[in-house]
Amino acid sequence: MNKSGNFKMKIKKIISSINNVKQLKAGIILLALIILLAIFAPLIATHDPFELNDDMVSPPSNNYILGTDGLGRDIFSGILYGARTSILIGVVAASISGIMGTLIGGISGFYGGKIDAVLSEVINVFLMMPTFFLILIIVALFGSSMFNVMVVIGITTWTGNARLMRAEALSLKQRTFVKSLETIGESKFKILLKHIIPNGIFPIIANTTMNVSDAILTESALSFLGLGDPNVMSWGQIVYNGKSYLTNGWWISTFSGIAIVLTVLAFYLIGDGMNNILSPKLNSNN
Amino acid sequence: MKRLSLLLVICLILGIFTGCGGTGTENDVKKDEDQTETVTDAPKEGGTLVVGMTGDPSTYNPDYQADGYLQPIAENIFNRLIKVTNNQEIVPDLAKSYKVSEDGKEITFYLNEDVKWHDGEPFSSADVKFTFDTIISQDGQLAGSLTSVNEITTPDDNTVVFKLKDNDSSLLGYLAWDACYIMPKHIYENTDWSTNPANQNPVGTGPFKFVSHQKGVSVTLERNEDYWGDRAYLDKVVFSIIPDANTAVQALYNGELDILGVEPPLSEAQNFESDTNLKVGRQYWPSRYYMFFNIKDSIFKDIKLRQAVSLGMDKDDIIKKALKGIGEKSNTAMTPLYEWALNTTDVFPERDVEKAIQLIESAGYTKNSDGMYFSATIDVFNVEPFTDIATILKDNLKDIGVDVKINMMEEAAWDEKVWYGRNYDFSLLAGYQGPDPGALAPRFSTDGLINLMGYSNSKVDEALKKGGSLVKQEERAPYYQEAQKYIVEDVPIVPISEYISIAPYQSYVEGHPTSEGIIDKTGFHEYTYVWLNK
Repeated sequence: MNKSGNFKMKIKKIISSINNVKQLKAGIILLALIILLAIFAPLIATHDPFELNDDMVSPPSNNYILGTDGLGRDIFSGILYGARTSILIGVVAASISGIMGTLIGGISGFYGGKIDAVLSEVINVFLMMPTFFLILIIVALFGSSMFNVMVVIGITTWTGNARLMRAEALSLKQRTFVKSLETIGESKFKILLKHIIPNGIFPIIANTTMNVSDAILTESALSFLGLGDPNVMSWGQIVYNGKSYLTNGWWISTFSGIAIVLTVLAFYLIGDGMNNILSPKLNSNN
Repeated sequence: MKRLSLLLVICLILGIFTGCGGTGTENDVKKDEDQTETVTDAPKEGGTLVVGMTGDPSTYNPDYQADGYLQPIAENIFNRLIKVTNNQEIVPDLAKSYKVSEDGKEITFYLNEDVKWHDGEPFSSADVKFTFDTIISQDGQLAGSLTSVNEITTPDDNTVVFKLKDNDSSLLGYLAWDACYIMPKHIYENTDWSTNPANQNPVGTGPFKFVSHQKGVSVTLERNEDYWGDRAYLDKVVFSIIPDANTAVQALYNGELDILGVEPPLSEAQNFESDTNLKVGRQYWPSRYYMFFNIKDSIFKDIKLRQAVSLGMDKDDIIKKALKGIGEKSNTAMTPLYEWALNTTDVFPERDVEKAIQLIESAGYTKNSDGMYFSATIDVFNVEPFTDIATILKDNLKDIGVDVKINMMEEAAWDEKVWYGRNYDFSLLAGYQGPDPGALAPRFSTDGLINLMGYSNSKVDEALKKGGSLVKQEERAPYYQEAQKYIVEDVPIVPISEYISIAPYQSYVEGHPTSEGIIDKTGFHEYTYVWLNK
């Protein structure tokens, strides 16, 4: 009884804090809507998104709600299915970047010494590289399958997370509870996994949420340059397909572009809102 | 000459009117009006023509290295011995005629008389000899195609003889193509042709003279008043540099350009056709789009699968959607532009889904749970319209149970994987397949340079070799036709569409190199006969 009461209290607390932060609320509602559309895409879509209809560059109408692209594919259905690809790429890439950043930053900050010196330099090297061009080169060399794109975005954007985690680890390891754990004789790696990372993860969570939108944008940018995976439907690709029809088919790039903007906005709002709740400094100011 | 061409135009127009003219007074009145109009429609002299271009030429030495930006300019400043038109026919240029000897080992060019360079010096056969000797000794762009030339002699000022080691039936085609413009001996002799100051201030024999080049802005030419041939109507031609094709298209719509000059995005084709302010010329190229298989090392080793894919492809669909109707279905094994050597009986079959499925099943494949027999990857470089063609092909082949994965790559990566690596299932390509049926050899003979398929058929090798060694068209034709028959049987490639490019220009521009009456006498981008009707 007591436990479930606690649980209820917790949920209530979460909901009230979500309600308190306007941007978080707006972001979550928007994202929920987008995810629902993505899940029920097969039910909502009016056409097979890959089907090449005979009406090319046809404007929005009853049959084609948002018009068709240059090869006769239905934009509305394409955007629905594209939501799946774009969100999947965003979440997976941001997760890869989050996990890598947390581990590398945590190890670097907590172990200190030579390990820190080496890892910090590695982080600096990655920070200096123009990420987007690195991604371009990798995709050009190894092909543009969706898997490649996700992994590449993930492994080139972890530096921000690593720096955050390193700073957290540096400060946490000075705390008394960590010191006492060390005196008890707990292994260093266990302390890192069980205490340092869980206590320092909050800024990473907020940052990763924002990274999702960055990853979606990067994928769109890659697709826009013609380096997306042509076997899946993604928003960036619809924008790219519409590029050469801007004068006579504005709807192709416009609606897919709006979809990207909304999703990116949703993740940013959530990330920003979480930052507000999770960061003690901002919290006390509120 | 000019009077003659004017007469020709008038005759032509009159011919059209008498052709459609009916009886009755009303028609007669109209006819009279039209006749007066033809008088005012005579070519007007003067004006400036503005043509679009996507980049700066790096040098005005037209024979030194490949420079696509220079070609349209070079055609107006320089002359060749012979030139190729937008009909892909070879017509006289500096050489008023030529003769090929009985054994094919000697080609004699008879040059026009009283030709002068832009600086007033007289032109002679020595310039021709100098040009080709230099191309060969300095390894110019065309040097690789001139390997059959043994010696060039000049019996007199207006005669040039090419003496060949072996008879080379495609040589004439190359001499009419690019990078063989005749250069002035008196300027280039005993200098380094890659650094000669004339490379930035060219002197030619052509219908227009070079005036100035503003880097990144424009190249200006003016009429050559002392031109040896038909004098140009235009005072000036300005090549305006607009790096982006889409921007150039907008400039054409705004009237900033008279001739688009650059290859427009296919997606604009319909807009051009429906715009009443524009006329659209068409240029046919022996550069057909085709799909090719990796025969040596992929699932397509099996000829049945190649036949099935050939039967499953919907070329009409591809032309309609990917090429926006700017194409012509290809079923022959060779470009139809060289009609005399074309095999029209042995051709690739029309689409037949059922037969394709039968072939796949007889090759031992069974359907999986998704209804697909097998899957294959098509490697394409990310250039329009190849990506669109691949997308439609994927859709077409779904109907015959082939699951196509598209692997889109940057061009350099494609080169690495497909061209050099030969590590692929099937892919798409276009590219120049002329200037003669001899161009079949590099694509289909066993050791051919562009035989990316790994195709090898000794009968094809032999036929292509024979065809290349003979002189007369009627002797060569049967060998090329035989080779085409085997190519259709073996399906190393599947032709998709002929390559047509569109050249939109303002409706007041008359005498465009693609227009009727002019197309037979000018190079691709030569503006000698252009005049502005406004």
